[in-house]
Amino acid sequence: MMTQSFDKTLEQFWYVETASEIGFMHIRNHMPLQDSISSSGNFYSEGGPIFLAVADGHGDISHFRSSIGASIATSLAVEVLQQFANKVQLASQTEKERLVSSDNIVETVLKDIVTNWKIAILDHLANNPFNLNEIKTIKAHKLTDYESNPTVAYGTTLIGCTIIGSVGLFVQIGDGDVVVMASNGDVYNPIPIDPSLVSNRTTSLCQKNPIQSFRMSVINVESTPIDMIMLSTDGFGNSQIEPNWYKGVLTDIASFSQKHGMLWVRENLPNWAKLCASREGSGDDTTVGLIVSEQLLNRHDYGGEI
Amino acid sequence: MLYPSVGDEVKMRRTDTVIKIESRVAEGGQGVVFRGVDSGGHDLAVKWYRKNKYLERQYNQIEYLTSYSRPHPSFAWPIDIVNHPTIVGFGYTMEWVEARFVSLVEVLKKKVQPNFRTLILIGIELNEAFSALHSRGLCYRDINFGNLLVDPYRGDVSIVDNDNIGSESSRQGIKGTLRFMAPELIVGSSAPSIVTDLYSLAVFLFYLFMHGHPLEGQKVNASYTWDKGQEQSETVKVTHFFGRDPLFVYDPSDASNRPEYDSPVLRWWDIYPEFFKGVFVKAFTTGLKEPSLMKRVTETQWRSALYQLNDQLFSCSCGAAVFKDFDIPNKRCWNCSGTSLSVPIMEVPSGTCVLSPGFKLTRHHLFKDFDYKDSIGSVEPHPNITGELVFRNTSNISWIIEPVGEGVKEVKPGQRMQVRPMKIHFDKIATTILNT
Amino acid sequence: MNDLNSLMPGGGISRRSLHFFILADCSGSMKVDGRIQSLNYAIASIAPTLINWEKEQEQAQIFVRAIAFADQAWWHIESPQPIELLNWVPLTHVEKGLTSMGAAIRMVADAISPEKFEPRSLRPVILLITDGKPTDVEEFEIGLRELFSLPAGKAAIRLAVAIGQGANVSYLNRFINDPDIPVLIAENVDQIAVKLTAATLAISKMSSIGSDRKQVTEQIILPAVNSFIQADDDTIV
Repeated sequence: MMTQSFDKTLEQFWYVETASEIGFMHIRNHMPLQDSISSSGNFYSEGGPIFLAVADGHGDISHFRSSIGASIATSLAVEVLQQFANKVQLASQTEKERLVSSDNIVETVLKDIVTNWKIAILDHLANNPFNLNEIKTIKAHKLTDYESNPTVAYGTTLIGCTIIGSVGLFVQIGDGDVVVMASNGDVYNPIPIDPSLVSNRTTSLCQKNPIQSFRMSVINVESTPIDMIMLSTDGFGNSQIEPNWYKGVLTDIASFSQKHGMLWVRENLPNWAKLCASREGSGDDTTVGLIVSEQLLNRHDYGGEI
Repeated sequence: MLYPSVGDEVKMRRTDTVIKIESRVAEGGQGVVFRGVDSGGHDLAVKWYRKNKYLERQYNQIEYLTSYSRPHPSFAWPIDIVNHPTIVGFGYTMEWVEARFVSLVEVLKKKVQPNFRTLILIGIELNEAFSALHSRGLCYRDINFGNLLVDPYRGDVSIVDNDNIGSESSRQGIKGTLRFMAPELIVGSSAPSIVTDLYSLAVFLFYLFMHGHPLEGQKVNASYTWDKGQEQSETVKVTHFFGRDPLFVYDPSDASNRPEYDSPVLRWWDIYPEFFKGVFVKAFTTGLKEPSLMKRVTETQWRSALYQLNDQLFSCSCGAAVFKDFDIPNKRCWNCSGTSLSVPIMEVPSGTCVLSPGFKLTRHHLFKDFDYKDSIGSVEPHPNITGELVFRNTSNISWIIEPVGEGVKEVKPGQRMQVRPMKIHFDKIATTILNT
Repeated sequence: MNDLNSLMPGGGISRRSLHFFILADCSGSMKVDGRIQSLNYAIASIAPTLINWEKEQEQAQIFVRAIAFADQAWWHIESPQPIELLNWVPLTHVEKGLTSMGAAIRMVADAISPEKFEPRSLRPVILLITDGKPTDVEEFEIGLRELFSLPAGKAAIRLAVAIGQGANVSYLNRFINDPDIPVLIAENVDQIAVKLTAATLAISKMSSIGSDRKQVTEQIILPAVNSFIQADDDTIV
């Protein structure tokens, strides 16, 4: 990875909007909403670090507590990212560069997420032992070793993201999308797409060595300023007719926010998620988190007449 | 001598089994059919071919068919070629068709008709038999009243005259029986095939359920005239109305060929639910004019329609057998014109069924796996309370039931429960019984 | 599209697609005993059940493509056709044609390679219908290797229908590569619709480790509930 410089704390204002809707297929199959989203930070009013995490608990019956796994994952990820931000904010320039090196992120952020998730899951299990129905499911899955790894029951994906001054950090395990729109209009996936995640398989926090399957990326939002970040579970991407939907979707949202304002976007985001989750779309739980820079709203480059 | 005589012995070519000719049963265009008995005392049919120029082809045909196992038990399949010690020529032997099997024409003429469950059984069996045949890439070529015999009491089918069966590429002289022939055969634009079989099968089913021919309506009748010099020849008429310009009596977009006022089709058509009539509409609209496997109704479609029809049968309070039509909620009884009293229905994964005596719950209802044979439960009249029904658990697992206003109960294998509004759990599958 | 949808960011949404590939044998031996008719009939019989299945499960849209093979493999239906619009032009055998099954498998592998395959689609279904064994055995081996090296190939529901009495099932079993899925015979093609349920379970995701494929089959194909046992209890519940 390139060595990047993060010597300035940007005074940038961010809006964070979220939506999470249960999928049609989940309703039909009497399954709960298994997606989760958490965010934290001082939005709307002042600059400062912001945090966003989404997770998609696996729908397969073998992961019968995945909705709990997902919600623990997002709140935990936000916590871990906050601790990381605290360190980055207090650190000297050289120390900051060391902190954001990928080696260090693996050793701190990823390790903490993975370990804390496992601890929290085992804690949850200790307080809520498997009931009779769940034990029946476990017995039916002879090839899955719940005994040595009960976290399988809670299996989930996770995408986490934070902006700390000029540092943008993204971490991901499993599927779902991370999309960034740069201020020059470029739209890209900071974390490259994993082509092996097709059909009904995904990497997961519950697997044996999750760190190995994590993907991550650090960007410098000062040298390449950004207007928007979108994190979404695969219920969103799987609904899009366009295989390469990233640019279209983010450009349209940019245009909507300039034309109608952030409040309008906030009101409509749940509807968009709902449509994707409906039978007209993927039918899967759909969760979208948006981080929008105030600078975008102050410009008119995407807006026309309403 | 052209044919064996009663008392003669013929011999099967492969096994040397001797068959004694007992009686002459029928004589047809191709030859004579005898009843014979083997040494074990089993009845067998023997068909002896008339001397003709196609004899060699006929020999090869029978040899070909006897090298195959029969596709379905309903076929009276050729077993072996038989020879006579002195008479030149050959015959073949097949299973003896019991007297309980009669022509559908005989059945339709009777005053008392088979009940609907039996008709449906006949339809299902026919479709399973032809599906098995067609799955092997073979076509029958000559579906007609004389060849598809039915047992009007048990709902069994016997398909005789199998010597025209072959793959489409094998050429046969036979084109079929006029009223059952597909339009493209009549106009001569195509040879007999699986596609033309599908048409003939639909005609047969129309007769079975509607008691008439699907193309014989007012338009066709109007062409019959007493005016001298005006009458068209029968051939011209048939080519026109069954071949060049056929029109279904219930074509939704052209009412000019509706059944005559005195046609039985008029009454029978109304009895059936819309979805079932829809299958005939497909068979005789797109399936009439666009001869292809995709446009005609295949046996799988007929079969699932017939099973669904069976699921919608019940008795009106007047005693008449009627079909619940989920598309027409207040459909009146064809007999008493009353709107039916409430009937118990059961919502299962495959759809909605009416619970009435004779209804069988199968694996397909629960798992949609096309297994219609494995019985899970069956409905019977209540032994003690008139008008009430019981549902017997014919599976090997207990049902867990939650009758409305009562506690959770168990219905063990073999046990019966009284039909009333409830939830029934078949292991993981939940179903509901409601009163409509 | 409704108002809400037109105000939605991006190029619109749709259901996920289920790509159904038919690999059809048109070798010279398919001429015998009506085998090619059997193949065409099987496809015509399965189409209505698939249409029905698509309607009922309200989730996936089925698109059909077909590859025919004899001396070589070629697209019989190249652009994905929605199942309800499928117009199957009956296939005919190629006089003295070989059985280039390997070439056909390589062709389908190419079509579901990550560069070409719609990433949001469900597990594809590949249905192989044949009366024999490949004549291009080397290509067959390469084809299988290529197929199983692809994420979508590995995940694919692979089914095979043996036509005629002498079909060699050992090659078909290697293609299916799952002891729990038997080679079907033409009479049982309606079972194909049953197997599709596994394809749509894609929405119910599994972690790569916490999963076993067997489980999926077990969930779909529940144990037979048959053999009637008479209970002593004569009371009516």
